[in-house]
Amino acid sequence: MMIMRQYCHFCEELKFLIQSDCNLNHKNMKIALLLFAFTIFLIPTIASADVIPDNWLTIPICTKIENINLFPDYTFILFNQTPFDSRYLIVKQNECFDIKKSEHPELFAIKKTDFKLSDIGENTVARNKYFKTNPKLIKSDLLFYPSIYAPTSDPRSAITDILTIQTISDAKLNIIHSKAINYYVGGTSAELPYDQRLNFWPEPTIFDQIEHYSKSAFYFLLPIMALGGIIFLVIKNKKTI
Amino acid sequence: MTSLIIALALTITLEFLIAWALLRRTPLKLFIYSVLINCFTLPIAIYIYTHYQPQDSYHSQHLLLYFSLEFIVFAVEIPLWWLLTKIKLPKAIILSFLANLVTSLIGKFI
Repeated sequence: MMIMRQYCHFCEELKFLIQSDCNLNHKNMKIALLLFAFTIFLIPTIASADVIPDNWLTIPICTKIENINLFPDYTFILFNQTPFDSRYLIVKQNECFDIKKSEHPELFAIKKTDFKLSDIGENTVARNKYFKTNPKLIKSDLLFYPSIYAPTSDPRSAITDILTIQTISDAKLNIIHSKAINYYVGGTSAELPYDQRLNFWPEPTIFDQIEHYSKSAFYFLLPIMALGGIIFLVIKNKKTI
Repeated sequence: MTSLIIALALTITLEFLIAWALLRRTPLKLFIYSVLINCFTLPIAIYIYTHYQPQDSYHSQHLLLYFSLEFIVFAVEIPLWWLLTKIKLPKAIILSFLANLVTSLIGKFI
C-alpha cells in the first residue's frame, strides 16, 4: 500500500514536471522525430564501419595443434573472453580453430583426472570464474594470430598456423608456433618454418592500427572532448544570463 | 569497436528520448546535451567495467561493480543535466535517475 502511494505520488510529480515546462510545438516534434530516425538509421551505418574496403580481403587463419595425441593424459581448452561474452573450445589434434580479429584467447591444459566438463558452467560468469580461479588449469603464454587483412592482390587464400606442444609441467604449458602453411589462390601451397613467419604475418595493417587508435580515442579522447563541450556550453549559458 | 559505438548510440538515443519526454524542450538542444553527457560518462564507465572486473568472477561482484558504476554515472550526470538545461535540481535528479535506470536495465538484462 505504502509503495503504491509512493508510486502514485511519483507519477503525480512527473505529471506536474512535464506540464510545468511544456512548450512543445509541431516544429519541435518534427525535429525530434527526424533526430530519432537519424539515430536509428545511424546504427547500421556505424555497424558497417568495421567492414573492410572493396580492395582488401580477409585471409582466414586456421590454427591447429599437431601433437595433442602425445599427451593423452591432458585435455586442452581454448578460452576466449570478450567484454560482453566468453566461450571455450575443447581442442582436438589437428582440428582447426579460427581467431577473430578482436579476440585474445588463452590456451589451457588440464589433467583428464581433474577435468569435468560440467564444472565449467553454462553462463559467462561461471565460465570466467572457472578459467580464472581453477588452480588445476595449466596456462600457456602463447599469442594467437587472428585472421589478417590483405590487399586483393595478395596471392594467399588461407593460412594454417601449426602449433606444437613442447612440454607440460604443473605450472606451465609450453607450446610454440612451429610452422605455417600458405594456401594460394591457384590451389598450390607452401610450408614454411616459423622463423620465416614475418613472410606470413606482416606488420599490423592500417586497419589494425585504426582499430587500436579508435579504441584509445573512444576511451580517452571522446570524454575529454565531451567535457570540453560541456564546459564551453555551461560558460556560454552563464554569459547569456 | 562497433559494439562500443552501438552501445553509445543507443544510450544517447534513449537518454535523449527520456529527457525530451520529461522536459519537452527543443529536441536539438536536448540531443546535443545527451550526446555530450554520454560521450563523457559512458566510455569511462565501459573502460572501468571491462578493465577492472573482479578476478574472482562471482556474479554478485559483477553486479556490484556494474550497479556501482551506474550509480556513479547517475550522480555525475545530475549536475551535468542541471548545468546544461538549467532545470531545478530535483528535476535533474529525476531525469538522471530515469535515464540511467532505463539504460542500465537494458544494458544488463537485454
